[in-house]
Amino acid sequence: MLITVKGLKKIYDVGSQRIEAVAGVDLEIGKNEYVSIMGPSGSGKSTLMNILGCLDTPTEGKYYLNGSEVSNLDDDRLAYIRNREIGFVFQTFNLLPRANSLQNVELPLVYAGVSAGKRKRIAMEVLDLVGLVDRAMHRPSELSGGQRQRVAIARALVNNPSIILADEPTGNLDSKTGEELMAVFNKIHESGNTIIMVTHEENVARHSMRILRLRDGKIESDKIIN
Amino acid sequence: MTNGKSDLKRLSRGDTENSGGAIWHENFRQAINILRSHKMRSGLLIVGVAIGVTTVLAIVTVMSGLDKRVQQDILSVNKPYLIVSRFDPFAGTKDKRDLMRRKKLTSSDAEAIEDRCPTVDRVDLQVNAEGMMSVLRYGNERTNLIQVMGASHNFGYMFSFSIEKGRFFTKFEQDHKARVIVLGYGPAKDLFPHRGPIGKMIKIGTHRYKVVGTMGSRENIMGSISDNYAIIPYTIYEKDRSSKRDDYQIAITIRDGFTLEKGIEETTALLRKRRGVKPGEENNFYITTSETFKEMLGNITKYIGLVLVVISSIGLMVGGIGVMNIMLISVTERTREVGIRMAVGAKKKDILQQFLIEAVVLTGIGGIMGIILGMFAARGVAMLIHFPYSVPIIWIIIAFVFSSSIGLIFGLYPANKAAGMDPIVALRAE
Ligand SMILES: Nc1ncnc2c1ncn2[C@@H]1O[C@H](COP(=O)(O)OP(=O)(O)OP(=O)(O)O)[C@@H](O)[C@H]1O
Ligand SMILES: [Mg+2]
Repeated sequence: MLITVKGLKKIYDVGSQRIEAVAGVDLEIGKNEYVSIMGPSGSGKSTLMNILGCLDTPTEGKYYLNGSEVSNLDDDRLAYIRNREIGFVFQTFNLLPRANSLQNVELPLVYAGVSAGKRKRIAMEVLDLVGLVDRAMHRPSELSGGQRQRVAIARALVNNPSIILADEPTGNLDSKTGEELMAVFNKIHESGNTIIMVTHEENVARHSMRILRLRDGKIESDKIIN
Repeated sequence: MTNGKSDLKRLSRGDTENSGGAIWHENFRQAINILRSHKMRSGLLIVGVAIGVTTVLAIVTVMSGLDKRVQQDILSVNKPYLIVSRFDPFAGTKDKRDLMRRKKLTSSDAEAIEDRCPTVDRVDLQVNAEGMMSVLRYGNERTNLIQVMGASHNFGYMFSFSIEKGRFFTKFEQDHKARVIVLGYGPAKDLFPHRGPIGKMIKIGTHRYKVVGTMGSRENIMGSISDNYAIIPYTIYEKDRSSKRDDYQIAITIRDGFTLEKGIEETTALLRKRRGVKPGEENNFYITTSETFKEMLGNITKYIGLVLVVISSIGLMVGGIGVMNIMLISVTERTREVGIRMAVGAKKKDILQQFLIEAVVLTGIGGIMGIILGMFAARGVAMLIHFPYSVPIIWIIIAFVFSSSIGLIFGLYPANKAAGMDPIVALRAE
């Protein structure tokens, strides 16, 4: 299994209140799966994704990535895993505003210590994959929302990670642009990548193979659709 | 498509064992970027640091020039020498009255030292009366009040005062109590603005002296004051001008191959005998060397310099606080950027390094500008008060290292703040 999660909990103490954002999740996801996570607002989707993406650590439970436990790693090891194994796509794109597309896509390679020449070659290749070679020198402010998100996808892909995690990637896009973006995700999936995607839209979710529904931090249903 | 993927795989693998060079480079590039996109505030900060460095460097330069000047000026001497006087001129004022009662040194003391101390090369006897100033006249021209001192013919040899015209007086003139005079630069100019001075007869009071030579200007830091003197043979001084306030000083050079200590030993023994000091009693005279004098002066300028450097360093510290302030703003503004970098794999130390480099680049540029400005400032000051301009290279290095360290030290807190961010919180920041 690529991902194995056992008894996963994320608990927040806000004042006297105790919030179980993730309230005991067991989950297995295999290589080259394409999973959608759905559920009402506040059901813990983002919290779960952040843990799966090693941006956050669980309060309780175990998380195994590629067979090794990552739920108890220190900050530097987590950073290393984010760099090599995870590609994250955010709802709000999260591109560096002062950097152009190429530089944004290169960023994970910088922290992987790849030399400038190779970095550029790989980044251009991935930009080609998302159809943005002609926008390589543009800054995010000079791109449309769909284009920005494609730059973000290219950045997520550039280090050839084990999983692509996308938290509402179409949330800030109109439905037509959203569909175009889904085509890009489908392409990535076809080329052998594993994708986990949070979405509110059934139209987006139907592109995936499997739909997980969360409610109050727990898995409500888990269905294979394709 | 499948091809593209495997291409990626091939390219990415094997590239990643690389060192931190790529991160360094990125962080440096980033620092320059930030500097460019915040020209105003970066510029102000750089100017602040530059001013701090300028003052420190200008002061250091001026001080080291001053030090050199003092050594050159006050100790214009060809060879290290001993100086014998009645008492330590730097002794406390409390003892001074006692010390003033000591027997004066005499010309026969000087002669005895020259004759009977085998290590002694040349001896010069100087006499002048503290506070007794005279006016020199030639025709209608007259000088201000100047110091007239008596000296031996060796004075010209032992001290490297440059003769501008004519010559120093000779042993023959000294022995025959000739009324000859060597004018300092000041009186030479005052009395003979348009004529040659050599061979002219000038008057001091009722006595007439023949000018045999004039001295070059010493371009002293104290202006022309130290050019305002005239020298006559001590023999004629004793005849024409002797007074109660006369104070004698004997300068002694030592033969090559002997140490100053040996000279002190011999001279001390001789003078104790001549001046009737009983065994076990304290010397009733004082011997020092040009070296200790030099050292002492060096210490004085060093302390003044140190105080000034400390004061101007406070200015640099203010610059440092400016760095901290701007870096804190920068970190807060770029919280989200930090989150993004962490999300794609930046470690704490990478972020720390990024902000430290930014701070060091800022203060380093300020430092370089300050060094350039400081050199100009020092040059200006040096020209203004006439002394040798010299920028000690070590201080340029210190200035650069110091200003960069300020970036490092004051950048550390903001950089640490950035590095300690939680990626999730940082990503959520507006
Ligand atoms: N840092 C935090 N401190 C306290 N509570 C938090 C924190 N982060 C999330 N929560 C709580 O955890 C719960 C789950 O939040 P989460 O962001 O995972 O929801 P979500 O399913 O992604 O919702 P949405 O669809 O609106 O994005 C919410 O009730 C939220 O208030
Ligand atoms: Mg969410």
